[in-house]
Amino acid sequence: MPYTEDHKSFRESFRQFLKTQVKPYTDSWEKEGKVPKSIWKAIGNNGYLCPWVAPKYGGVGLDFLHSLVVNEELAKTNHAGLMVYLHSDIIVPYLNTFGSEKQKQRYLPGCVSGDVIMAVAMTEPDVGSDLASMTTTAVEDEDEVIINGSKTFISNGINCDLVIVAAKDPEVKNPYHSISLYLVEDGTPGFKKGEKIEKMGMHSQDTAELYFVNCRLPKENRLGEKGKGFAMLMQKLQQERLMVALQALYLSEYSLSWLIDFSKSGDRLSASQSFQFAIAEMATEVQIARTFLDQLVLSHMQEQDVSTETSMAKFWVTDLLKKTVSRALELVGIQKEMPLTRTWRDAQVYSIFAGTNEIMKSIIAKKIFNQV
Amino acid sequence: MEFSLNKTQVEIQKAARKFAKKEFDKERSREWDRCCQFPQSLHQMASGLGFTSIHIEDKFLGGGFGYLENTLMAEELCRSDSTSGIALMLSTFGSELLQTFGSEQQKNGYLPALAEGSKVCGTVFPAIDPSNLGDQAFPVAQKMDLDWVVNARLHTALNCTQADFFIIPCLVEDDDHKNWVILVVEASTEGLEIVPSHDPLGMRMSSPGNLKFHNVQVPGTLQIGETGRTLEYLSHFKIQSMILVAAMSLGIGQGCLERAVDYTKNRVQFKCKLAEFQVIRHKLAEMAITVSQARSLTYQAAWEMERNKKSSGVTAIACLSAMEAALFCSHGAIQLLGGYGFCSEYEVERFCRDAKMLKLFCGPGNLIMDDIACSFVGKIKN
Repeated sequence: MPYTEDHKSFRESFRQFLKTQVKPYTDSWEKEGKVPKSIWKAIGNNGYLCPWVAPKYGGVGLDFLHSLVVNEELAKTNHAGLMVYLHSDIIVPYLNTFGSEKQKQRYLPGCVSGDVIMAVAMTEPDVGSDLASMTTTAVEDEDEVIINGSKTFISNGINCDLVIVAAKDPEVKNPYHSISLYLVEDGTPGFKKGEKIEKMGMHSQDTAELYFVNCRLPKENRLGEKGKGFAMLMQKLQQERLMVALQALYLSEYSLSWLIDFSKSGDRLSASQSFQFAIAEMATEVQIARTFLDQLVLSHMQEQDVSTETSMAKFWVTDLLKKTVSRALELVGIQKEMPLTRTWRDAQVYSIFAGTNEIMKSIIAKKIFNQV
Repeated sequence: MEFSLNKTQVEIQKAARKFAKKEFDKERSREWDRCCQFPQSLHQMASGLGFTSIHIEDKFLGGGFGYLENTLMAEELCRSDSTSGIALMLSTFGSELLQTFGSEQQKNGYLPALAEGSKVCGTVFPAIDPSNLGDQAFPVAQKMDLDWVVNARLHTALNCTQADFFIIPCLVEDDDHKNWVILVVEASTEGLEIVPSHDPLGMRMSSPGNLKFHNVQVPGTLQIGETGRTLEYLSHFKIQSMILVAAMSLGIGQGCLERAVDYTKNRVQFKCKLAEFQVIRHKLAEMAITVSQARSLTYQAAWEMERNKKSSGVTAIACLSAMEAALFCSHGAIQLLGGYGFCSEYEVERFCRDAKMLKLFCGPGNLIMDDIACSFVGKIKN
């Protein structure tokens, strides 16, 4: 990977930031069920949010690899609350690519500083994989848009200052042409945040339901062209899947690394032959995942169409994460201090969000068969 | 060979099912799981009905039934609610050791109270690896006249919050360093520090945790059996434990399979019920296969132990198969329920944490594989 000295020193200073401002607090954030907004501001003020945003919008104009450095180091803190990769590398890119000059001037600086925490709302209680069937409506009326509906499983749902909401024009019958994206600010009348959703893992992540009841926005809050919502979502999914696959890789590497360190602290485990072989197997699979993803990152940075490969990476590496951390727990048994129980609980959602692994396989199969 | 249950066994299944349906409440279980609370009210009711003492002899107020009946009870309760089922079945865990190897005085002193539910026992799965004792931290007991003095930095325990007494295997401090003793330690004994886990992964109604022993004095009358035969007792108890763990795991697997079928038959995406998609149907089929295999093996293990009073090795295979079935089905159910599978409001994530904890409760993964290999590879002559 073409990391330079600059990336190295960026990594070192971020590690220091995490050591003093994040690591000491993750346990209490997990207990409380969310991270304070102040940490988003702190991480933003120190230049670690959206490092790739151009200087004219308040950013530093760094590259995608800087994002990867941030995400990799943050993953080692073993908590999901401060979901920087979602904000910086999945959601803000929508604003950067599809936003009007006015929208970008208005919101991007805050995305960089941490004053504008972002969320994206696609999923609904009855609509998961079948996104095109969403029922949230957006009726454009002169200068305004009126949104009605509810969204669920929204990450950063409680903390978000700005949400990108996918909604349909009820007059347009073809679902692929009826969806548009809208920027809804926290505090807009008619926009209500629900209670935090209690989950198996990711306890520090403020996942919530969002409700829109005659929520009125100025029409200029539409992101991009009307009716192009579905196409925009599809365009951005390649990076979304890549980021999730990378996160799964980092957590797999973290789990394996912890396991090896732990086994060095006594004789029993490391002396067991079947333990040694288990480590060999896990290390091999994780290495293969790393190799595949490093290659994919480079292709993605060259703006190649690797949508099939990122779907492959998403399902394969998330399954690998679940397998690796599960196996690590069982090799060790119950221990008094074991960070991997949290990693295990957090890992279970990876095969579900950002497109289920079943959908990934569906996409890959379609691509293969259409090529014949 | 007959593969059907007898009339009594079917009655026991029905009674357990009826009780679970009437008394288990999803929301209340979720709250108890969140707060790590023992299901006191359920325990009282279940004990009153004899559900937690099926395997205790009737002269000690138990049901006087055998392994298969106990298995059926465990399966039904855990199928309905994994955490409550585990908490109820493990409230008398350890009574097996007392019943098989305890003195009459010990049996009379503890078994009736366990059977009627006025006392709870805190015993852990005897995951002792005799080939590698050095690295495993066990409590150490020193003989002092007729009594024992026990010291331990940290010892895993169950039912930390609600146990009236614990059954503890200790290494004897002597020249050999190879002798063991099993002691009954009352929870109120001076020097015993009980430390419940503040955030256990699963089995949260059974308050897993640790015990610290600071010169804890245990009267010699509370030693179970003879000092020289302890490993033999623990070996026997391990077989009994594996059957129980298999039964609870089987219930968890079955419960998850049913919930997955139920959800996928109702949830619509892409204008179809999820259960109409071939890959979903095949996933459910895979789950059903694991449960079927686990059930046959578990019932066989219970039946064999009842008949022969020892295990051929099928017990360890049954235990591992059932634990794997519980994990496969609970993970499968989470995946099939999608986002809802990850939510606490839907039970399957709790079933999954319980299944995982149950497997970890049986010790590090290799131990059971060592047991299985031992049972059929036999001794190697050098």
